[in-house]
Amino acid sequence: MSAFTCVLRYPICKVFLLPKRTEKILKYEIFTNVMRISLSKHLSQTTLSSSLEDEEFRKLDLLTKGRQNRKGRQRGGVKTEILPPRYKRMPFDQDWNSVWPTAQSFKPSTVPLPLLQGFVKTGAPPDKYANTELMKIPNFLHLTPPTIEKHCAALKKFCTPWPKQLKTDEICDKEFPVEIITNDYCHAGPSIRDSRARIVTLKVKLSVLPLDYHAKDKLLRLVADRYDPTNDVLSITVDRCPLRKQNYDYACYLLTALFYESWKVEPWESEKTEADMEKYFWNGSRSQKAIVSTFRWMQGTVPYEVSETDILAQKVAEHYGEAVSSIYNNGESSETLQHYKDAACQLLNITQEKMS
Amino acid sequence: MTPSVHKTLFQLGGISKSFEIQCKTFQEVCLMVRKPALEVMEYLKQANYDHPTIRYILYGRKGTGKTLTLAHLLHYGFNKKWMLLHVPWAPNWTRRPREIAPSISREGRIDMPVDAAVWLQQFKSQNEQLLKDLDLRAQKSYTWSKREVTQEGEPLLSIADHGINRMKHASDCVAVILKELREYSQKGMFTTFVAVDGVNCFFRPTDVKRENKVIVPADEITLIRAFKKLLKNDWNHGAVVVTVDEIASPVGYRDSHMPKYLLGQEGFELFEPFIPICVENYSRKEIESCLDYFIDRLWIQTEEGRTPEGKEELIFISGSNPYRLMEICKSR
Repeated sequence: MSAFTCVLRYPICKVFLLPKRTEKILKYEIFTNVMRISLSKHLSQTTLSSSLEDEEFRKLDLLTKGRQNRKGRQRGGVKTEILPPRYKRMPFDQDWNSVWPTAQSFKPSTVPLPLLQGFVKTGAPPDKYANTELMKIPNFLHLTPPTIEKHCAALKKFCTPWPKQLKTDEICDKEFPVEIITNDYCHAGPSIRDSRARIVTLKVKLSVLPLDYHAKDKLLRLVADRYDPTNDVLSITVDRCPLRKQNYDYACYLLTALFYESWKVEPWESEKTEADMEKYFWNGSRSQKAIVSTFRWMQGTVPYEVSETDILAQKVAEHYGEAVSSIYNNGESSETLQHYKDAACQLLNITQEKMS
Repeated sequence: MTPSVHKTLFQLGGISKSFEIQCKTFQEVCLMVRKPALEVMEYLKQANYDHPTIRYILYGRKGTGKTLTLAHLLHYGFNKKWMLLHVPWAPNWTRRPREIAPSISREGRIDMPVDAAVWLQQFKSQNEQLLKDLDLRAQKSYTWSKREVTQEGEPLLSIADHGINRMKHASDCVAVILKELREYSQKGMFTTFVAVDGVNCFFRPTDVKRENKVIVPADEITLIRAFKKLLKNDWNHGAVVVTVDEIASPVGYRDSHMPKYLLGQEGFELFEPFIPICVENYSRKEIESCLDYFIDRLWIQTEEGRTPEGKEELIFISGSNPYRLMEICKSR
């Protein structure tokens, strides 16, 4: 086809498309609309055969041209001109905020985007005109960045300046380690209340709290899965009281109570059995005793001096202890087993050969 | 391996059935020399036998060749004239005992007369020559019943014979023989080679039930108890090579092929310190030599099978797993 295609917009006008030889397109005198579909021209002014401008009224022809062309008059009456939709008359650099000042349902004639929404089994997705899906879903065309900038500028006079010392995130975390999260809800209905607004979440990193090994272990047991080990954050969510303030106070109380309880050592904690242990400790285990007895037997037959054997024994035993602990704590895998093999061979005086 | 040696060592078990059938077809018993076996042999050479017994645990996925590696090492021990104490497939005792009887000597324990007698026969056949040469005698007298007594100084072979003949006392005979051999080993008279296939079943619930349908824990079975004493390292002049196998565990305990998981806490602590040895699938060289052997034995009969592409296909389908390769070559 030719460089641009023309689309028939109005049923009455007739536009002849001549074959390739001629590039001109004949226009009828009464009204013809030649539109170019490329997007760049979409918003620009359309060419009308008559020199109509937006602000002037349309001419109502009574008994003039219409009468002259009676023969060629169409049935069903002469239809009045329909103005092109608004989006075609929008300049690039218009103020969108004035076009869409508040939240509105989607208006296809005002939104200048060629949107397609929906699914049709055979065929292209439906376009924006009479698209119920687009009309139903909420849009945020009233909150584009320039609009938000205007909102911020309007609110600025009510704000105090950001403290100069809090320049980076790390300083903020250091000065304010506890994070309180609450949600607010708005309803356009008989009541503006929402019961979810009472929920308070308190987040704090455990590295900030001074805890020794026992205290941390006890705290983690008390807290269970409120602790996230990947980013070391304890999150306490409270919603048992009706008011937000009450929940906030309760959350602070919980944190305080957890901290002080975890530092206390109860008398029954000494009854901790092997099954309760949070991880495997090699020192004092049966494994260590077995190793020590084995090593002592082996020592007895090797004529080393006492001091030498002690240092050797300690190193070897530690190496072995590490290997066993890693198997228990980190699970078995080829690496941990290889580590164990090396340690055991060292203990039993066997050199591993690297065979090809 | 010569047929006579094969018969001596493995007549009553120790090699999987499919491999046995394959050996019969090929009319020879051939084991591939692989890295795990060589590694263990190296360690066995290096080890100081005045020190406590070193335990070697062979572990690996299904079908990678643990049992055959054990068989290879058994053959090595046989050649070195060590005393062989071999349990061919331990789960036979925990899952399908041929007969169960309450123990005579101790209350609450369970005996397995037929299994014990079978083991004694195997022990005799594996160690006959050695026992004759060493002429070991009982160090204590053992009273089996009012009329049957083994006096001090009688040869150990007679105890074995007594066990085979009087199956009622077979389990106790086994226990006695193991105890005696342990004591002799400690004196340094010979080296004992203990081999147990599927040792992880000793540390898991068994399928053996008493008359009142209560499951018997492994510790209450005389045979297993006797062998467990040997698996510790409080004696010397011995070597213990065991395999842990997923299949040896009961059905609920088969998630992983790793030794600690299969042995459980109790087993792992019993075996510490041990040397774990991984038996893996065939390497490139190994699988090619295996396929060449099959071709040489005219086992792979089609022309396509003998081409390099055919070999590649077989390698891919079996995933370099020795057992699967054997099964595939059987069917095609």
